[in-house]
Amino acid sequence: MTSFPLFRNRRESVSPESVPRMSGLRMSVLRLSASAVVAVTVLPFGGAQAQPPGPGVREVSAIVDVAAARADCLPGSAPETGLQGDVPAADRTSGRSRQGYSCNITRLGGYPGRGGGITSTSFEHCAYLGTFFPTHLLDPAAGVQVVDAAVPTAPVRTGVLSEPAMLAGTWETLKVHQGRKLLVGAGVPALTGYGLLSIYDVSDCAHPRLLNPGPGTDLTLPLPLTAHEGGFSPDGNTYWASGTAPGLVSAVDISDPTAPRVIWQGLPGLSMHGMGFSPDGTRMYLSDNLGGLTVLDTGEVQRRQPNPRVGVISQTRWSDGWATQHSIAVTYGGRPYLFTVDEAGSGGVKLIDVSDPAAPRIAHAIKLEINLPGNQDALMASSMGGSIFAYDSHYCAADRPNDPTALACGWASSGIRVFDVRDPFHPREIAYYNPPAQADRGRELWNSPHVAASVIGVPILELPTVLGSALSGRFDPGRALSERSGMILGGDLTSDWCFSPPEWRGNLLYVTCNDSGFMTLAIDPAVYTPPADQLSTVGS
Amino acid sequence: MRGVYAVGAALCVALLLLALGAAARPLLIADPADPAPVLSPVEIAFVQDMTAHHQQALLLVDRLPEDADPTVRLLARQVADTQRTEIGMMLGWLALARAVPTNPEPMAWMRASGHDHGVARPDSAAMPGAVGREELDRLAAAHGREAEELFLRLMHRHHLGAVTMARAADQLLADGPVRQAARDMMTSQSREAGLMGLMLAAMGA
Repeated sequence: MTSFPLFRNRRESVSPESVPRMSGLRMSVLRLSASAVVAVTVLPFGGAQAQPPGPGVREVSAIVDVAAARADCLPGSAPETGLQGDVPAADRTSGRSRQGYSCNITRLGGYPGRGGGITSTSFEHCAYLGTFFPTHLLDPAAGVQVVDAAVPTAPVRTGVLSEPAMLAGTWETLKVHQGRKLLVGAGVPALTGYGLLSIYDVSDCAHPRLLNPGPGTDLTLPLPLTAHEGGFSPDGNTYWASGTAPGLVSAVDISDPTAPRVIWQGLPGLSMHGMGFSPDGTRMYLSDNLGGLTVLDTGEVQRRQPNPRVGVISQTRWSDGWATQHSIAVTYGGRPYLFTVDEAGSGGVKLIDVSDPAAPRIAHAIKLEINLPGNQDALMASSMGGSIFAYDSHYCAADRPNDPTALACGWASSGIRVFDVRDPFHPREIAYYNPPAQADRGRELWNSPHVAASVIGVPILELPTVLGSALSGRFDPGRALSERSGMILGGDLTSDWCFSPPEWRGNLLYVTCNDSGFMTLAIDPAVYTPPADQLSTVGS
Repeated sequence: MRGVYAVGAALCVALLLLALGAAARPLLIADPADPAPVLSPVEIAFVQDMTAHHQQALLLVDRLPEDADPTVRLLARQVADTQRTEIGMMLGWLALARAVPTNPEPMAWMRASGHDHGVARPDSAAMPGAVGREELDRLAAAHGREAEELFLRLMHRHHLGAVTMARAADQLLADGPVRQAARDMMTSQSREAGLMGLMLAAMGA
């Protein structure tokens, strides 16, 4: 059992907006729901009794209860109106959220297209927008949109990648290796995909060139792998694909990108997500969808030993957030740490000391005020009707791998968040940009997963944490109610979902959000100076 | 009409929260810890190695081409179904025993017991009947009768290796669910290996 100090919330709570009278329907729904929750959580069935953890198995129950310090917004900003990260119900109702929120960031230009898919990537002055299957196929120019942002105020589309893997939906597989100038994406039609993987040369970033017309691209020559997410080994010679159902992980040798070949496969857990790597490629930091981090010894694959074995060095599970997304390996003063992102349950971005890979230690977490245990009621009030995700981190990029100075994150409905992480134990927000909500464009955003998911109004991925706050007596039902509380069956796009890593280009960020598509953002030089060795670092 | 809709919506939310509440319960309510071990070190090591061994069967089935003979495909599906179910069972055991899914010292439990019948060198972590990367690639590239024969040979060898491992565990372990599973693997995989031998003979291979 690992523990770390519980932090108190340093910020004063902001009073909720006045709550309108509830209709009888809403009250009965709430009463029934509350009884269901209480009934289940007090039922006398318990977990099986387990023996003490063996080597490498760790469970962390502490919850980080402090938010990153707020940014000081300079003149010209359009600051948030409530808690840090929140898009309050009143702003959603009044239309305020359609104007967006910004603090020390200016939007220079964009390529909205039909939405930004789940995650997108970029290289040099170009961006590649992920695809969301099947709705993106409504676009006559369906496929991965290639956007040239050489003129940041006027990004233009220069091509469309329409190989089968690109048409089948790229989910979280679309990645670039900067050193080898390769773009890779796998086809993921429905949470998990099979067999499709295309590799492109992006030396001329605006005009990617397909390198593997055979295995992975030719429909008669599928590769034996499943994918939901993927990423490169640091040397770019291996593309690792991981699946959520089952948690199959595959190592694809792409040292010859014309002939990708699966060289290892294994099942390190039931449901695995994204990843990060140690700089030498011998350790994989694999996200556990249940909320945690699995460290794998990938040395034999990295060294290309015949019939390699990949052992699990450690499994760390936590209850502070779940659906762990990906990890960025960095160092501070030469000591290896991870920024590990949870995509659900307000887990935020954890700072994990991995100097002992058999015993990773959570040192801190970067959260916004809306993520704190005492604000889960406010989260429910504004995120009902926003569909399954609310105010969660999803993908981040550090501005360099060693002693990073800043971390930029796509934070779902909280938009793009930028933190000063020179002292990662005391992160400070320096800028944010939450794009104008695209509430009127739902019908044309064929490539927005947010639109597709908006048949559901309830922020399902937050509910375990909401429940945790309720049981610890930190949930005020009155504060959780709003004019949106009855929005169970439909979402209304009154905020965006920003899922992609915002990538560093000097003072610019290349970002992609579900509804707003690709955007170029400029950070005010008064709050951020790029280090001379700036290198946008996503982790895989 | 509005009333029906209201009740429907209420039930949907209640069911959703019911499921989520059940799922979240372990996060919220600490169950008393019991220091009594669920599995012994040898049981953990056997289950870890057998999980890896079972995964090899799934890789083999995965590489069997779609155009293979329906009888061979039927057998392959049966093998995959069984092994996948058992993988789930074994991963569940390891989770309850709070052990990682892979063995830090592969096959050491079997070498130490002298039950490997000379299958592996003393310093080798190789599992009996293990399938190599080249063999998987060869199977994936093969078609028709060549693929069927290769699949049956590799799976036959895989199963005999599993029987060797399960027999060693059976002799090392006292009674309990792990030993029972090992005995069941011995019989079921022996039976399947026998069937594969017959099919190979019928093919004149």
